[in-house]
Amino acid sequence: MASSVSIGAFYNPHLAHETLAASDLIGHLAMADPPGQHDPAWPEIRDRFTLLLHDYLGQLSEPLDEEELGRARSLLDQYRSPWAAEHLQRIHRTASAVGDDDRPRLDYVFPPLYTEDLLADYAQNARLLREHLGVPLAVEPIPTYLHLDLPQMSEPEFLHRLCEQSGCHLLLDIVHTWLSARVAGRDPRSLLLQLPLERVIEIHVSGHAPDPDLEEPWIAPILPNTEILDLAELAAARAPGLRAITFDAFTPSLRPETLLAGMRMLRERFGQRA
Amino acid sequence: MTGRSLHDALLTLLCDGPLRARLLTGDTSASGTLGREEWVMLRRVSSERLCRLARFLARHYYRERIVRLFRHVRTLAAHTGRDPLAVLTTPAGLASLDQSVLGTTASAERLVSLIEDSLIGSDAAIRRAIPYWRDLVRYHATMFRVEAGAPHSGGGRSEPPRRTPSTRILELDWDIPGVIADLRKGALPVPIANPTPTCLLVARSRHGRVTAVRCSQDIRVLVEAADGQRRVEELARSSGLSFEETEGLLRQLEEIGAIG
Repeated sequence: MASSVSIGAFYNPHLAHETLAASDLIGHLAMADPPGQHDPAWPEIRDRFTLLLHDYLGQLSEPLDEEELGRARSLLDQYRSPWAAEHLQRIHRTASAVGDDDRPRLDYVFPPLYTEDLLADYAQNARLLREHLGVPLAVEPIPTYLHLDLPQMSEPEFLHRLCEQSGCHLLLDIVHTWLSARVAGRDPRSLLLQLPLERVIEIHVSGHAPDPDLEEPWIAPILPNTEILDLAELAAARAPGLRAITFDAFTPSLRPETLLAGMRMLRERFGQRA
Repeated sequence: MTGRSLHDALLTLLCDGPLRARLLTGDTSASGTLGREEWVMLRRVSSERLCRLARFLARHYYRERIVRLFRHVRTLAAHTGRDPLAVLTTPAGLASLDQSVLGTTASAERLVSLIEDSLIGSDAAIRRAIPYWRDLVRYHATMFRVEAGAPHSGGGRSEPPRRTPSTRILELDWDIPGVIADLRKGALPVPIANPTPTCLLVARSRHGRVTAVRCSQDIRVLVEAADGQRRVEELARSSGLSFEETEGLLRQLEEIGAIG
């Protein structure tokens, strides 16, 4: 892994004070939401940290409209982010099919189907967004919980072709990959090694915990276990373009000790002690 | 059938509890909404996993809204012992999640009614310590309802100006904006407030942002008179403002979504 890889976290506004105090541990902050109007720490946060744009910019299966493109540009400029990231998700229906009222929008990441028609749409729209922003665009795949008996590509094939056709990079969430493998009954390491790791620019690391609704493990803003850290290390070793590893914990309930423990854990594992 | 059409149908199904129930019981009328081929395909998915995922997504959908729109009631949870999120774990709350149609006014209304009942039921002890408790609950419930209202479409202001359907005027006995300002500072113990009749205008912008602003008598008259029939000159006359003042206010009201 390159020594220039930054180890960072998400910006949790309720932990602004602790985040500023731990700037020796935190190399960058991923921004999932724009700064709040009442966030007194924001000016100092913006000055002290490299910020990574990880907001919802738009659903890449649809063309982004002028307003969405303008907002993406504005956030990128505000953060001076070296790249932008967007989930490979589909959370609302085709607007024209529902009379231009695309509600509801899920408030949670949800994967698309890995079909030829959707690949073509994602590739085109991701390329347009990347060109509009003028910086690398990283797409972050989402695990599939509910499988449909439909002929479709594997997740690795879809990602290889999407990156190739759109010129995009990959934001690899290690727990997402672990869950995709688990649901598909596959070995996580072999699934990971099938992904286009040469396109990975950022890695997310967090934990997983049993979910009472799904009745199986799911993504959780907690510390990663050894298996997840091992997978992250494997991915990092095979990702020559990797520039950042982010502790993926973004929730108002995140406690400062968890944030700091996550940062120390990642620094220790990836050989960058503060 | 395409990947897109099937995914559209899957999203519809995950968001619509009654439609899901029809599909799972084999009611073929659901195929009209989902598409015939899509219906056949979705009939083959694991009903157990489909229902679990739908509940998971509904919980996230409403959890996010409760956290955001009942924020200050939640700040006081340590003092009141009441957290609106707890509703989502009750039998009635779980049934509400399973039967919800995400994004609809009716489903939001069902859930917010449960939340209100849970917060203000047998609350005498809370009200002795926090006399403005019920006004604070009403404030948050109104924010929740306004956000769940149908978005107003179209770009600029209609002429004559028209009040948007989701806009509410909220009359309170306590100065809740003052309480909220204290709570935002992290001011605990519980903020002290004086009884002050307070009128708020709550509106949802075109982008879905819900705003509550203090509503003077002038604004109230203007908003109530803006029925899509009266022109700006008439609105100015009825509110006792100059044409320029009325235009300026209408622009601000349009910005927060009170006038469409």
